[in-house]
Amino acid sequence: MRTSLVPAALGAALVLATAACGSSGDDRAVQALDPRTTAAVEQYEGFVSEQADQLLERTTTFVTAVKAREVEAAKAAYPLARGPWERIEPVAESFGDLDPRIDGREDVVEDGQEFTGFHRLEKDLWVDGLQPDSAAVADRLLADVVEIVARAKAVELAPDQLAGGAKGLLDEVATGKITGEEDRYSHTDLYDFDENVKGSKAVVDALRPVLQERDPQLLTEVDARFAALDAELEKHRTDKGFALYTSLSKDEVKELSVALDALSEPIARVSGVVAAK
Amino acid sequence: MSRLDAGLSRRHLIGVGAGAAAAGLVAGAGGAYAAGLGHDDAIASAAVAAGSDQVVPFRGAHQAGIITPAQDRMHFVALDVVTKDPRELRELLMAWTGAAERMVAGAEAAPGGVIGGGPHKAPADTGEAFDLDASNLTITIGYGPALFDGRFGLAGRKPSPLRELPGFVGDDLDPARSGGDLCIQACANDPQVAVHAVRNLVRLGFGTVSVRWSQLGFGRTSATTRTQTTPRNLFGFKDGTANIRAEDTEALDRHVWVQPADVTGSAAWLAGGSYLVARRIRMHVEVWDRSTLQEQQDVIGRDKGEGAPLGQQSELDPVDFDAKGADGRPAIPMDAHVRLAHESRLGGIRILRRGYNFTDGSDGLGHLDAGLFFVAFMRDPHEQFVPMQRALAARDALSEYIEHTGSGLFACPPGLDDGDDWGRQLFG
Repeated sequence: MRTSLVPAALGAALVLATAACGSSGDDRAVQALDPRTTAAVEQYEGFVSEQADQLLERTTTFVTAVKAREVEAAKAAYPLARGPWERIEPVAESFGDLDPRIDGREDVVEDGQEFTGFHRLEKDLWVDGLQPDSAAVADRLLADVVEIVARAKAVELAPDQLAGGAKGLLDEVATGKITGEEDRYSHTDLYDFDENVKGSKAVVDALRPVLQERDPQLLTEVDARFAALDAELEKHRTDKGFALYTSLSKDEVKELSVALDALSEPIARVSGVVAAK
Repeated sequence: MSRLDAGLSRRHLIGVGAGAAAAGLVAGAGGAYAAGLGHDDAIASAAVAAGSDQVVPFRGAHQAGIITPAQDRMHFVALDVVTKDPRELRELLMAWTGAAERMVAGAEAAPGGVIGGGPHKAPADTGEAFDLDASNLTITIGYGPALFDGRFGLAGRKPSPLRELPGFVGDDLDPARSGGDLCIQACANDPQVAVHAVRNLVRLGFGTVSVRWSQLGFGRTSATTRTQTTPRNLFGFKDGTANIRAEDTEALDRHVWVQPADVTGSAAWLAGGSYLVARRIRMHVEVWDRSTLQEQQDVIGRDKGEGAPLGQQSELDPVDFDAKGADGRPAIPMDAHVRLAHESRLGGIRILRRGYNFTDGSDGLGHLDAGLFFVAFMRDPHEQFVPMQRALAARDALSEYIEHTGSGLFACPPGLDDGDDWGRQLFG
């Protein structure tokens, strides 16, 4: 997340809400009648559920390492735990109160609100060293994740929310990851970058039959540009995962940005195709 | 001023726009933007309705934005081609032609672009010019030397003068503000109209091109017709008094337009075009401002009030390099800018200047990051700009106050005939 926590979270919720309101009852009826869109929603909800399980599993590993004060193990677990979160970020963010607690950043925590969650522990691990309350922060993170996992698994989505999510994930990359803001202490931004892109691709995969039927040219373009962006990301893969953001040159960051823009434009057209009768 | 009694804004052109291009889909490069090119009666009639002083014709023998009376504002952008597929580039150039022709006429970048696509699509036009008129917008395209390096099968079509400029004494060029495979110069009397044009063209290009650098100019520094008054640059002096004007057709053919004999064979596509040289010239305005009036006038070679050559009375008086001052020394010092840049000192070389003042905020040291975005058009950069700049860079008294921080060279093709587009024109 980029701007102030609460408004941004509300904004994300609002996006989902307006997307839902944006469809008239008639649209809904038509969408409901198209078995392909119904299937797409089911497939994607299954994906969200699967990622939620992984989020819980990996966060547990991370939290356990923090509480055992195993710094190296915790550092290794940190970007991996965030993976499933990043894949379903728009869904996770739609629960306005939980997002700032789990994924809030220090500079955007509002007055009176504690700096907790992933990024607080990131700062402890990479900058300040583990603090007396690190274990408590870790416990709270796990409790919050348990709650968000339950909510995410029960979420019911509309087809237009899927398309909005595919775009939203790329927006996250453009405003938070490509700038190196998200993981400013660990510099593991490329992990999050990769997971956001995978999350966006999961939406397109769910919508594939719909797009294939309604706008195959757009689907071809989207697939080609996902592949091009993946190829750019691959350049920075290491045996452990991804290179640190800070090791990238300005030109390398620009190459990623160019490939991201190239994908984001056609992805922005998906919602119009999904909404079309 | 013109806005109030202007004809029609984009908002009122919606109906026209809807009919202008056959398909209304935002289909990316090569898509619907390209539809309905050339024989677009709707656009033509919209242009007439909007008032002739607001709309500069898009098509003609030469591109607009060169001898068009210099507008007040400019947004210039240099881009790199990021695709490896020549067809994608060609399709983008075709799509750009369609969108540019529409925007120049005061229409949206695509039919119904702002709100006509309905609530579920990202609008095809970004919308900030919706209520604004055409505002004398011109969109001028140019191609850099690197575009002809073989990536797109264009190596054989490269005009020989389109080769990189040499370095000059005192240059401090920033690679991030120099070069580019192609450029778009958008000029308008309303800055928002110019920015809107560039923004929408750039948007059409994502995946095919990427912005390398861009520059906003806020005040014209040249007059390009005899009826325009000479404006002042940020040194406070009238600039470009001796410019080539649109009415000087003979001088234009001699100094500005590439002649058919200049580009034979596969480079013939450039006949009727012109070379654009862009230089971002940072002015150390704070240092300049501390100089006495006499020092300033001696550096330029003109008086500050009238713009008259030193030793003369009015701006358009001929420059007399032999005139002596009361002290017996040359009225125009030997290193004055006017003397070194004058055609009589450069074997008759002239160029058409069309630059803009710029201010890009401040430099972090408490100084304005300001200067002149020099843009000039000419028939052969290596026969005109290069010797001129060599002479200036080495000896010009002005060099003490300026620094060239960016540079670009582009070949601007001739104007488009009805039905033609930039893609076909370049690729043949």
